[in-house]
Amino acid sequence: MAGTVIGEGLTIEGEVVTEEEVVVNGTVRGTLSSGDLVSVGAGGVIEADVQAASLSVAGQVTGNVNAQDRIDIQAGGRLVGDVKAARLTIADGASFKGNVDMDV
Amino acid sequence: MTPRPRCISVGRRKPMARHRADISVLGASSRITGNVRGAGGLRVEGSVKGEVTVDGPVEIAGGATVAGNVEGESLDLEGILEGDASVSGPIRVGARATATGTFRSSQVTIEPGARVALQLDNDFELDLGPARRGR
Repeated sequence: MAGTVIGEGLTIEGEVVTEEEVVVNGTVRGTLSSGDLVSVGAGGVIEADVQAASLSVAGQVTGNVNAQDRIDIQAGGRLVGDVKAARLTIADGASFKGNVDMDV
Repeated sequence: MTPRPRCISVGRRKPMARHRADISVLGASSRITGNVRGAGGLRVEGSVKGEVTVDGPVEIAGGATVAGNVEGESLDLEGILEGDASVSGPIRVGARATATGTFRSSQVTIEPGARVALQLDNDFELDLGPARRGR
């Protein structure tokens, strides 16, 4: 069970800072910072800059993402924004638009 | 010797909705500056500085802080609330809770030990005790 779960139908507008895993099935607008994994469920929407240990996207993310470890965009997931991460996977059926910085 | 009353209680009694699948949780290390609104219930374990408006039950856990007004179906407070609460159902203020503001609800329960500076704005009928219930 993740530390923070933003359920379907819930919207947070503002700044979210946490050390725990975050599951987004609702909507976050503003900024989101987590010391752990951020997963965006199929119905989840993030319209925010994201700072996280890693990010998994099955829903929609619009904003710049900085992940210490990895970013996984899953089938059906959509990410629009510049990403910075050591590892990036874009699954078949995922959409992505933006620049990638893998710190090479 | 009659036992001491365990809590101060006014208003209609109504069971709290529990175990709903659409509950959101803001974990213990989560700090939110901004507004939280939408459908379903909400359990706050961290801190929220802003308005909380949901249509389900709201739980503010021990160690959690909400600085802002709260609207929901019910409120279960074990942490700190600095703001007004307006709910359609009951409000419970636990023994370790701190609350300042105005409470509007169908029922308020304040357990002994709670620290409150509250204005209560309730529509209620006098509770005449267990002997008179079930008429």
